[in-house]
Amino acid sequence: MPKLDQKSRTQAYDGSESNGGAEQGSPLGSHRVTATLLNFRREPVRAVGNVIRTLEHGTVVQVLGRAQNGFYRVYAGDTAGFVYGAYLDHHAASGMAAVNRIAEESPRSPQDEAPLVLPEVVVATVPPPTTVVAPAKTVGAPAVVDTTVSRDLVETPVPPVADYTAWLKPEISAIQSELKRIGVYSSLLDAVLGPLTRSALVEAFGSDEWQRLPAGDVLGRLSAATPLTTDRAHRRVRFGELFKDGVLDITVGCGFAEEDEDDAATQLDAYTLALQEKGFRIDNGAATTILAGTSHGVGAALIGSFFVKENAITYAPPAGVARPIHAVVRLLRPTDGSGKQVSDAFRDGMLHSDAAFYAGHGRYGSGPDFDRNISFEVHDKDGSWRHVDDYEVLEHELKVAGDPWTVFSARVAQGRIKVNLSNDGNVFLNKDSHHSNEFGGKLMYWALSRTGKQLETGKNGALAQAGADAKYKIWVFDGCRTMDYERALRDTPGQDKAHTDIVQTNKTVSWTSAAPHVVAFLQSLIDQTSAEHLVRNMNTSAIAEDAHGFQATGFAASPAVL
Amino acid sequence: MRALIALVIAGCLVVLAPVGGARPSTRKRAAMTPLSFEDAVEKLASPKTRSDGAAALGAMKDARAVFPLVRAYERRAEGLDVTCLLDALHATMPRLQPAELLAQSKEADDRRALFHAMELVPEVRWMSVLEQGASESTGKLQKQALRSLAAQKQTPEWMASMGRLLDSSSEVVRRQAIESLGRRHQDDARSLLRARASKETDAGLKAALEAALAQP
Repeated sequence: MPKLDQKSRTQAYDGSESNGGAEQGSPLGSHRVTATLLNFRREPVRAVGNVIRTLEHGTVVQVLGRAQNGFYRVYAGDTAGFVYGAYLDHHAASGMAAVNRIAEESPRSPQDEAPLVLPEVVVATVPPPTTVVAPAKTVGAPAVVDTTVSRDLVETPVPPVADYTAWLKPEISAIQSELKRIGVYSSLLDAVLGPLTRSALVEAFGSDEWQRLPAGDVLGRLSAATPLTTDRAHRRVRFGELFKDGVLDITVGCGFAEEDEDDAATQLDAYTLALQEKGFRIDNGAATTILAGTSHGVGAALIGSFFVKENAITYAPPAGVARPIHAVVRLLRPTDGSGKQVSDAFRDGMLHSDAAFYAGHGRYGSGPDFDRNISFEVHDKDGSWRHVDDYEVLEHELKVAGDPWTVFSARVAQGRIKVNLSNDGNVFLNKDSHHSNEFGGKLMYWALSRTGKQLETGKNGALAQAGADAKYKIWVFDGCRTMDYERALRDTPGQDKAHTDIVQTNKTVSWTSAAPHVVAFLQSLIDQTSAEHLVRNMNTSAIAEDAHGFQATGFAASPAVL
Repeated sequence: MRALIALVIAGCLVVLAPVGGARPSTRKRAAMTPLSFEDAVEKLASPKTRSDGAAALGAMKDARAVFPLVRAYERRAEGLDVTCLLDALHATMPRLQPAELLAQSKEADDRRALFHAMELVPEVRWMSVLEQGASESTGKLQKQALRSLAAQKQTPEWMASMGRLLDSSSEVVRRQAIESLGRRHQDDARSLLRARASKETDAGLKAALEAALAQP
């Protein structure tokens, strides 16, 4: 087998970034994977979401050249990508030595002496890191993007290097002081490593890395961090939690509009155009690959359109490592007969995506809805039947004979109105009707009751998440008067203000603003704005009659200020 | 001092009196001045003023009013009363001839809005226009024409139209006709469906016909 010589290796570190940083030139031949499982990456960078697939031990790859950071550009089958060179068989006899040799060739700086930064998903038997990155010194400054070359092997999670539960009270107290100083903690200095302190540590480090560090190292990193700005009027979105897995994953659900069914297609065009203008492209394959590196993947069924923007964000937590974050937006819209599938996918997004955004009818406070709930067969006085799709048309007709709900109930009982019901597409959140004085509100809850639709909220609801399953997330409900949902959502385990931030409306809003609202929300997350700015951006993106419709709840529990 | 206070109060009264007196007369003038067509349409844009605009348009009996009224209806939001818009459409549509309305529908979206108006205010007179729209158009226009046809009174004319649509060369049209007749649950509809089932070649539509015929 051809051996990679010292000269070539040196050239790799001087190489340009073109072609993914790969060296141009003739292939260097076949090599075997020596690791149990080796990540096969799209780019020569160790980042979550960058993995095409894993290669098993013994897999033969064709090496095309060296890339940066100890990676090699290879063909695996007919796919080009990158693998870390230490786990190809030319290193098999002296893996550690080879890694060390490569490390010696990389430029070093005093920062190399800073503490080790471990990836989120790591491995057993791995060599030590060769490049160590210092914490970011300023807020938002793209300090050093983590291109650490170590630990590109995937096997089983490594046991913590240091047990944070063994931290001493004086150490915790000092850590809390530092967290407060840098602006990610605003609670008591009580020397207790409680949920708020742990959450603040995630915001400081941008990951759970702190759990594997000794208290002294954590303190050192925090002491070196530059404080966030101290405008305490502004609350911070918990970007550390959102970006932990290297991906910003948003599920957008477009609700069903019976008054204009074709509007769904128009809306899709509006979303597509708006997202493309922001640099996103529709790429279900890339989204599947990127989401495979997250905790939940693409969900139960690959439905909807996935918009992708790689490296959409550079995230630089105050005491952590700056790194690129990919963004994936999944757009769900109902088509004929797909209401149940879409509502299932949206519910999955509510539970597992970083953010779920519903744009559609509020359904009189009952919850998002992705199919036609109701249509009618009406028997007229002249003996003829007529089909009515639109319940407001029916209400208008019934008003002539008296109170519409009373007349409706009587005619249903007499068989003069037959009702076709379907609640498969409903995500039923709120059992208490807030609009029982409105015909539509009465009808909605009557229909849900008749079809026996199960409530998704409450301790037995599908949206309940217990313990470790309850992740931080943001839900946006862009429909009429969606503040009606909140109480039922908050009464659901795992959806309290510590876990779920909610943006909702306090009035009726129009369909025409949905795409601008989604884009304003997305851009605010990309720009890492405060919660106040996020809501303001959404409100000012709307047409005049929708302005000031949004309000937020839950962000006040965020430990950080911006 | 007292004289000064009296002088100030008197001054205020002089200033306020004409203002207080002017308000009712301004309102009265505004109420009495009829809105122009354009002003009425403009009032439809805001939920706060759209009932005024709709009422004015309803009173005009102007065929052009159908289009802004339907578009305002399509912009509706939950909790906002659409009665004023439907009232205005009911006041406008029955007095107009289909030919007159079609003459006003120069753009494709105007024709779609017109077909939607025919769904909101059903009339036997719309049948031929809608059947033509369902048979000769495509896309959004065809979908709206089919939806509006389905919403018309199920008269002998409607049954005849459905019978013709069942034999359409378009699968989309045949599917809608099967769905509409299937919902009728009457012998006359069943016999049309049965006749079509004997000659339908599309497997999906054949299944739809069988499902419709299997219903009680």
